[in-house]
Amino acid sequence: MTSQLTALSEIQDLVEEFSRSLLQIEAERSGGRDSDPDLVNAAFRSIHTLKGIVSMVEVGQLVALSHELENCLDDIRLGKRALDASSLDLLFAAVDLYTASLAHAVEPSRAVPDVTSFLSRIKDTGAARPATRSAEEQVSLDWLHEDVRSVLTEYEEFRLRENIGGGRGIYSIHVSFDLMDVDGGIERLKSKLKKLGEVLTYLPSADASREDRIDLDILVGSGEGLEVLRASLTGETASIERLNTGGRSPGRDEGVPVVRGHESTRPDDVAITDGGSGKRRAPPSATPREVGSVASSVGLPGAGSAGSAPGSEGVEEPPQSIRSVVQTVRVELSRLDALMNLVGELRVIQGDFTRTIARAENTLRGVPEVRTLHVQTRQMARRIDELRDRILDVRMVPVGQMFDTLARVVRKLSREHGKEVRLVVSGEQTELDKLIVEELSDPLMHMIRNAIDHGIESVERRSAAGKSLTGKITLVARQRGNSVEIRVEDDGQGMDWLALRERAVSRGLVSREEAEVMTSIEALRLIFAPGFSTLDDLSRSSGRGVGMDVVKTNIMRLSGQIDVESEVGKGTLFRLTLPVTLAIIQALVIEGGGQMFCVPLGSVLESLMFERSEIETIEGFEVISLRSEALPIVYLDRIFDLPRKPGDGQLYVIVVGLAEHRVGLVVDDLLEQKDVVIKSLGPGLDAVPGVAGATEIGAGKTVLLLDLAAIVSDAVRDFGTGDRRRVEGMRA
Amino acid sequence: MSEPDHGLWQALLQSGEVIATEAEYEHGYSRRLRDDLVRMVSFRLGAEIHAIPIRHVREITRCFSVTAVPRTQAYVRGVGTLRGELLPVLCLASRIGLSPASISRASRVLVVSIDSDAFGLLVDEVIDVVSLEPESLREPPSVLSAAGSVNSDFVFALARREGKLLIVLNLTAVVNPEDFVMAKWRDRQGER
Amino acid sequence: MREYVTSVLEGTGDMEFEYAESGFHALQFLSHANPDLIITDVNMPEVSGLELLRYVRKSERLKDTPVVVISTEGHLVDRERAKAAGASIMLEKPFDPEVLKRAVSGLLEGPPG
Repeated sequence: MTSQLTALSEIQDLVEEFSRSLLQIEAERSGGRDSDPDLVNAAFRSIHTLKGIVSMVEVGQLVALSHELENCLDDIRLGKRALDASSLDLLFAAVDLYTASLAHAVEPSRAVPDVTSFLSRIKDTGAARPATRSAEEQVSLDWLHEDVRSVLTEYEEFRLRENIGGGRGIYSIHVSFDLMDVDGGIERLKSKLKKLGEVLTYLPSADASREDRIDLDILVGSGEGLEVLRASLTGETASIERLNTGGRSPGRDEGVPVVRGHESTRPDDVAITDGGSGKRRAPPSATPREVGSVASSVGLPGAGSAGSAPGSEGVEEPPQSIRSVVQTVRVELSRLDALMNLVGELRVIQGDFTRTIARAENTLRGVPEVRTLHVQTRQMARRIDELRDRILDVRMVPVGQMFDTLARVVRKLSREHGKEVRLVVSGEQTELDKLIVEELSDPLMHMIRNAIDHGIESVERRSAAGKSLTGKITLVARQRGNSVEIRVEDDGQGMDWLALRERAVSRGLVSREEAEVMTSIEALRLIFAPGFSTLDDLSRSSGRGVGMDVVKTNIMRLSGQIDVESEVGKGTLFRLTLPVTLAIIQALVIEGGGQMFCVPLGSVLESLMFERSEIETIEGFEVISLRSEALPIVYLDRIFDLPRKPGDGQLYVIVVGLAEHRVGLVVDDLLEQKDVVIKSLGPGLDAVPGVAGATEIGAGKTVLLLDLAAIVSDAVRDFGTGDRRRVEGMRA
Repeated sequence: MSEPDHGLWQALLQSGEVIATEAEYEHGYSRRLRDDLVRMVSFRLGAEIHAIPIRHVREITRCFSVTAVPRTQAYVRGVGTLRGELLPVLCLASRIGLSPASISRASRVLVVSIDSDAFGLLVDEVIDVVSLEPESLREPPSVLSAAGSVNSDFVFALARREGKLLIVLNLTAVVNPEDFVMAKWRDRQGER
Repeated sequence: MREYVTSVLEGTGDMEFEYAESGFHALQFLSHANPDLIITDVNMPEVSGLELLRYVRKSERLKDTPVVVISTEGHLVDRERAKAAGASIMLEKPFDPEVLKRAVSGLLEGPPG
C-alpha cells in the first residue's frame, strides 16, 4: 500500500475509535450517569492522534476539521464547553464528515463533503460558553509539592482541581513493579483504583532507580476514606498517603460543590449550607463523610452520601450515581485470566495428588484413611471444576449490550440512506464471553450496513413491491447447547444467486462450466470467497474496506461458523454459530530455536537476562546464580532439537516452578505479553508432550503454546534418573 | 484441465451432482450417465499420480504459512491457520513413502475432512476430478516392489486413466492422527 | 506521530530508532538503555511527557540526555512547564520538519568536548 493509503486507513481506524467513544458517552448520558472523564479524554486523544496523521496527507479540508475538532474536544474535557446533546450531535456529524472525506479520497467521483459550513457551526456554538469558574473560586494547590505541580499537564491539573472541588481527597500511592510486569501490574492497579476514584496521573520516581524495577507515585482523587483505599491495595507492593486535608479549600462553604458548567445552582445547595450548622440532608443510613458534595462527582462511585433517600424534605436530589443501586462490579478481563490460570494449576496439582495417592495405595493397603483420602480428593476435584465454571461464567456478558449499539447504527444509517428501517431484537439476555462479544461487533455492524445499503429497498420500491414501507432487520440470539446462534435477517430485496454466479465468473473465481453446475446455496456462499468484493464496491458502500470474506475469517477466528440464505424479493439471512466461551490466556511470546512460541504467563515465575559468562557448572550441570541461589538452566532449542542461535553473550531465561524447585528455561528472546485465544491442535497433535495448543498472532501466523511444566520436568528428569534430590543438591 | 484454481474447485467439489466427463461421450452422442461412479480428485506426488475420493475433500487451496511442531514425525509439516481455522498439514508424499515434496507454484493443499476433523495434505499439483467406474478399480498386488514406491497399506486400489496409472489411496489409513507424534515421545504426556 | 518523526529524520545521518508506545514503555526501555536523544510528545495518557522528562532529569544516568518535547499548538501551560522541567528543545505541532532536523543534529553533535 502506498503511504497515502496507509495513512487513510489509519485515519479510518481512528475515526472508528472516536465514534465508539462517542457512542459510549451517549450511552452513559442516556443511562442518566455523568460522563466518565476518561471517555472524553479518550475521544480527545483519538482526534489528537488523528490530527497528526491528517497533516501529512492531502485530504480535503480534514486538517482544518481536525484542528477545530481537537480544540472543541479539548474545551470539553477542560470543562470550558458543555457536553450536551447538541454538542454530541455535532461530534457525530464530524464523524460523518470524516467518513465522507475518506470515501472521496479513495473514490474521487464521490461527493465532496461540506466541511466549511460545519466548521462555522463549531465555531458559532463554541462561542456560547457555559459559566467558567472565576479565579477566586479556583481551588488552591499550595499543598501540592512543587515538583509534582510543575509536571502536571494542563488537563491533569484541571482534573485535579475538579476532584478537589468535588470534595474528594487526593492520595498519593507509591508502587513498585518488576520491570517485566509493569504492564500487567499497572492494569491490575488501574482496575482497582478506577472503582474507587479517578486516577489523575502517574509520576515515575527516579529516586529508587533500580535497573530491574519501576517505581511510580500515582495520584488518585477519591471520595473513599484512606483505609478503604489502603485495603484495596493489599497484595500490591504499595503504600498510600493522603495529600490534601479534608478535601475543602480554606474559606469555602462547607459542602457547596464547585459549580460545573452545565449545572448551575441546584435547589439543595441552599439546604446544605443551612445556617452553617453543618447538618446534612443525608438520610440516617448514610455514613457521614468528611467530603461534601453529591452529584458533582464525575460519575464514579463513592462520592458523597450513598443512596440519599428520595423525597428527603422535598429537596430534589439529582440522579444518584447508579452504582449504589446496581449490584455489579466491573472486572478487568485480565484479572479473570489470572484466576483461570490459578484454577488450571489447581487442577494439575489435584491430578498429581490423585496419582500420588494411587501409588501410595500399595504400601498403605488396609489403612482406613485411604478411603477418606479418595473421597476428599474427589470432592476437591468437583469443587475445582465448579470454580472454573463459575469463573468462566463471570466473563459472560449478555449480547444485548452490543445490540444497543447496533440499534444506533441502524438509526443513523437508515437516515443517511434515506430509507425506513427498524431493528427488531430478541434474545438480548443470551450470554457470550465478553471477548467474543467484542470481536463480533464489527462483523455484525458490517452485515447490518450491507443490509441497509444493499438489502433494504427504498420506500418507493417497497411500496411498489407491495411490502411494508419500513424495512425490518431482525437480530436474534439463541443458546443451543454449547453454542450460541445469532441470526441477522433483513426483509429486503435478497441476493440473486444467479447474479452472484455471474459476478464470480467475471471475476475469474469460477469458470463458466463450473458455474453452470453450481447450486443456489453454493452460489450464495460465493460472497465469502476472498476476492469477491473489490475495493470499488466496498468504498461505494459507506467507504469501508471490508468484504464478507473478512467477516467470515473473523468469525472463524472465534471458532465460529457463518452461513447465508437468501431469496430474491424476500430478504437475506445470515446465521452465525459461536462457541459460548473461548480459551483465552495471558501469554508471554518468546523466540527459541529460531521460532516463535508462547508460554502461559501464569507459569512464569519471572523472566531474566543473563550474560553467557555468568553460567557456572555444578556437578556437570549448568546453573546461574539468582539471588544467591543456584538456578539450573535448560535450553529450549536443545529440548526441541531446534537450531541454536549463535550466542551474542546474552541469555534470556524464563524461571519456571517445578514442585518446590525452580528451573530456568533459556530462550532466544522475550518478545511481548498478550492475551491469546488458544485453540486445540486437534487429534494427533494434541498428544505432543510439551505443546499445549496454538494461537494465531498477527494475520495467519500460527504460534505454538508450550506446556512449560512438561518441558522442564522432562529436562530435569534427564539431569539424573528422575532423582529430584539432585536438583535440591544444586542449591548453593 | 490443468493448473486449476482455488475458486473453481470449490464450485466443482461442492456440487453433489455427477459430472459427465469426456469419457462418457462416444462418437458425438452421450451414453447414459451412471450414478455409481466414484468421483475422485487426482493429483501428482513426484512422478506418480494419486487420487482420493472427493467426498472427503472440503477444499483445495494454495499453500499457506505452516508452523513446525516439534517432536512430530517428519511427514507432519506442522500446523497452519486457514482463514481462522487451525489445521495440521501433512506432506502426503513423505507419508506414503516417497521423497518429501518441495513447494512449487503448482503445489496445493487438499483440505480433507475425516469424521469432522480437518487435515491439510500437501501435494505437488492437482490434476483433475475424475469419475471412475467401480469395476475399473483393481486390487493392488500384495507386494509393491521397488524402493521409493508407495507403502501398500496406504493403497486402496489401482486404476487406469487415459493410459496412465492412478493410485487410489486409502485416506483413513494415510491420515492416522495417532501416528503424528514421534514414537519416542508418545505416551509421555501425562507424566510430570 | 512516531512514523512521521522517523521519516523526517531518516535521511539526516546515521541513526537508530527505538520506539516506546506509551510513557510506561518508555520507562521500561529507559531503565536499561542509554539513548543519545529522546523525543517525546507532551500529551500521553497516564505518564505524560512532562513526567517522563522529570524522571530523566532526576536520573543520575540519564540526566544529561538531550530531550526534545513536542507539544500541541496553543497549550502554553504545557510548553512552559516542559521548559521549566528541563526540555532541551520545545517544538509545537505542527512543526516545520526542517526545524526538527536541525534541532536533532544540533543536539546530537552537542557542545564541543
